[in-house]
Amino acid sequence: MNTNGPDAGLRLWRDERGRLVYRAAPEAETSENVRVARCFPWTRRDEYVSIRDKDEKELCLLRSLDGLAAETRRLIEEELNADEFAPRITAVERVETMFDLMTWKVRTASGPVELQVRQAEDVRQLDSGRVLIRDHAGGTFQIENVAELDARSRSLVEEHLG
Amino acid sequence: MKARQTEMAPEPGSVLPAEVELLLAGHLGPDAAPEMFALADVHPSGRFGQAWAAVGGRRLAIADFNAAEGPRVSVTPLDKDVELEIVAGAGSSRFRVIRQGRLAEELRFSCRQGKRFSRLLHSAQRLSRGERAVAAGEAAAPAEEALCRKCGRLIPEWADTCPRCLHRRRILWRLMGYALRRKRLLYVGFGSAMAAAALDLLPPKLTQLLINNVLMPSDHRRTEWLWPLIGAMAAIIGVRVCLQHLRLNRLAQLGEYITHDLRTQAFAHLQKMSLAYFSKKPTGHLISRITQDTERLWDFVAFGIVEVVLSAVMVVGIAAILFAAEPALALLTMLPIPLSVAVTYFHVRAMRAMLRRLWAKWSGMTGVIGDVIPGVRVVKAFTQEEREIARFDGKSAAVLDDSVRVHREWTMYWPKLSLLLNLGTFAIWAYAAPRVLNRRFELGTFVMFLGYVWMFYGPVEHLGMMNRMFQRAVTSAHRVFALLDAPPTVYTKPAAARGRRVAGGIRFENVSFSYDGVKRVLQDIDLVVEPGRVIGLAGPSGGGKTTMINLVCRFYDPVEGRITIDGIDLRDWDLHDLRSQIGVVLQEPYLFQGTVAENIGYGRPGATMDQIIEAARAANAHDFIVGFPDGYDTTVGERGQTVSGGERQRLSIARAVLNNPRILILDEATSSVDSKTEMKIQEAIDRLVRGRTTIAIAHRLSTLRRADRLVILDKGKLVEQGSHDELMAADGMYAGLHKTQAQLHALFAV
Ligand SMILES: Nc1ncnc2c1ncn2[C@@H]1O[C@H](COP(=O)(O)OP(=O)(O)OP(=O)(O)O)[C@@H](O)[C@H]1O
Ligand SMILES: [Mg+2]
Repeated sequence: MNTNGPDAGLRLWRDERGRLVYRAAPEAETSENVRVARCFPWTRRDEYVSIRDKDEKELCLLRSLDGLAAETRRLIEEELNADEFAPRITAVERVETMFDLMTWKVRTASGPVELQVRQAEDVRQLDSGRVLIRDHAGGTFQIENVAELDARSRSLVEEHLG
Repeated sequence: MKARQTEMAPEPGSVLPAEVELLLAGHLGPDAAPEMFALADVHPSGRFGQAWAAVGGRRLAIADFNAAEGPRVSVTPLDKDVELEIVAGAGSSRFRVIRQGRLAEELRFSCRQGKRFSRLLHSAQRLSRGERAVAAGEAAAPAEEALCRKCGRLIPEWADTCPRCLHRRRILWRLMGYALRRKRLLYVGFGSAMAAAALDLLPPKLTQLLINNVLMPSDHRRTEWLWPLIGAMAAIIGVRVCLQHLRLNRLAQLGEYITHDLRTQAFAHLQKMSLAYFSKKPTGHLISRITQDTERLWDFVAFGIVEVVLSAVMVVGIAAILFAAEPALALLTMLPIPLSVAVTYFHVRAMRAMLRRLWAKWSGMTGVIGDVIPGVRVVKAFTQEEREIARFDGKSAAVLDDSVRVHREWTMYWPKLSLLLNLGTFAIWAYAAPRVLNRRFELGTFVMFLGYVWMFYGPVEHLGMMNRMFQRAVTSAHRVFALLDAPPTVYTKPAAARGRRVAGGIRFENVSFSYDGVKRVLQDIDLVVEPGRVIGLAGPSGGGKTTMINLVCRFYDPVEGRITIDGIDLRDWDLHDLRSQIGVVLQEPYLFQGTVAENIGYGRPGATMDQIIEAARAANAHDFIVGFPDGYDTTVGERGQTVSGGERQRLSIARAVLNNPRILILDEATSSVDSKTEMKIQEAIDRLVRGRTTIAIAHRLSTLRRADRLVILDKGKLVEQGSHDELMAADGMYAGLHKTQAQLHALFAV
């Protein structure tokens, strides 16, 4: 297993099925249907990326994506982004509460959306100040910095922090 | 109180829009309608997007609206050249269509469409095998799309009950229904509250009479009123005291009865709920619904409603008296009232947000204590005391900051309120005093006005808090009613026959199961267990063994396929008949707080001591129980004597066999015990399985040697079954596991 990070010989590509294929070095064996995962999806997004085979065995842990072949790096980033979806909220338009159930009408970097939030506890502020809203289906929506929102959105968020 | 009747749009993805259906029409086949569909709601770029996938008539059609140049439709025949897969990610997943080994389509969707895509995938896979889109035993509509029994509309999946039918006003009426069950208490309490309020209005009026008509020298002076007036004052004070007591006492009692009714109903209903309900809800929430929420309702019914009604009556009453006496001054006096109510309203709102934040900080701080004290050994071992102190200091400082802000808010509010009400007093002075001097205003009326102005304090406060109080009560009531109204998912059908005996033949027919509707934990399981046979269930951790027995006990119903006992679908059995004839030893045996005898007899309340001892003997537990100083009377469970893991196992085996069940289920009955204890348990088990259908789960394969047949589960699939010899000969997973264990054994035996 390679944990030494950047390795120009390391290659990742897609096969015809669209699945990822991994090869540690030009002469090495290839592994099919591998997956990539971030070890610190919230705190160190671009470091520590794990390449895993289909049985969840780690093939390689990349400390950083620097130094990888350009195409491989692009592919890894593409895959990582495809697995993630936690839209950034840019404005809160309306929060309707019906008992515990809240409907948040928000604008996000991915487009406008309405969230059904099951209970007050699903709107949390982390120690870092980031606010996470979990909707009923388990999707996560985030506000990186409440202070950067407009005044109205900010007061709506603060009023509903669980 | 805002009574908003929100019309909710259906969940995106829950209905196939007409234009999509039109677009797909014809693509699925001459007259095939979409049998199952799903919305891919994420654009490949990471924005929200729209692409629909639907199956029907052995085809999969995709209508993609993401491209700028307009919708695109593609059709894939579901035959053996097609592979479909879902690549699950964090937050977004991908649905892939691979045709003849090449990626043909890839759709991206968010968590909220996960269940639908999971269903779509399985139904497409069934179609490609030439089966029907909807499996036998699978509900036509997914469970999350339950229709409201009252209004017939879709209940959103995130709510237990239809929120539209639990409307605010209706909730209050329903709560009143509980109050009306104790009419006497209600009427006496409410009546005396009203009477007391009316009496409250009298003293300033009497003062006015006393000064104007008795004390002040004038032509129509009536000195003979002096003593009657003093007597009336005494009577008012006396009667008020009695009324006050009646009101507090009766309404407090009424509140207690209501909470008691709600609490017991909620607990009783909770017992009927299926396991799935409990695993979705954290225990803390359920406990707080039964205790805190009902407690809050007590407060509301006993004091809140009455305060609000009385406050309104008081304000109106005082206003009437004042206007009758001196309209101009009355207007001046009342001017600050609406302003005061508004100030109070905003104060309560600000306080709520602040208190919430303070509460969060507070629990962060207590969290540190709760974290560190149990972990104190780790803290000391790694000498991290300083760091924990710093952590606590930080959290405590945050609490301090927020507390200071809270104090700033309320210490501003009270002076503001008293300033406003003092403005009223000031107005009376400034307006009336000069006029009294000029004899254009009566002294008694002046004093009466001053007497009334102070009576506004209480009502103003209550009216300002009214909105918040109603909100809180309605929210609590909603939580409690939502619990009361949630239907159990696993229940006995009304038509089920009662009192049937179990013979013991178990059959899994093409059973698939998922806890969350997305990940299949069991997949197409077929298994036949003849009555009286012993089946050993083994395989890697997380393979679905415990899940299988959860289904046999009908803690959950399968998502697809069916399970029968003696040829009858589990869903057609009476739940009580079924479970009372199945003895279960769970993987994590649980002992209730109580004596050993009570714990063994738990499933059969009328059991005699002889039966309990017999069961304990059968489980090889008798000897160690008698070894306890208190024997069968030893208290175990929380706060009682702690019993060891092996003892716990044997007590729960005794509990399971006390009912003489026809089917015995043992989940890891010999895990985490030493070899000698294991032998004792094994001995007991060997004795107990005779004549009973048994499913035994074990990681240590040696304990399964008595099994008639071994079944190996891996990743939710039944991968092998047969006798020990057959499986060894097949040289598959079982043989592999067996060899590893034999090696380990040899290693430690040396
Ligand atoms: N209540 C639940 N809700 C959601 N997922 C669950 C639940 N219980 C179990 N699972 C998941 O279902 C899968 C199968 O679990 P199961 O308990 O049946 O495994 P098992 O074969 O009994 O494992 P072990 O040998 O470790 O006891 C696991 O992936 C587990 O995480
Ligand atoms: Mg298990």
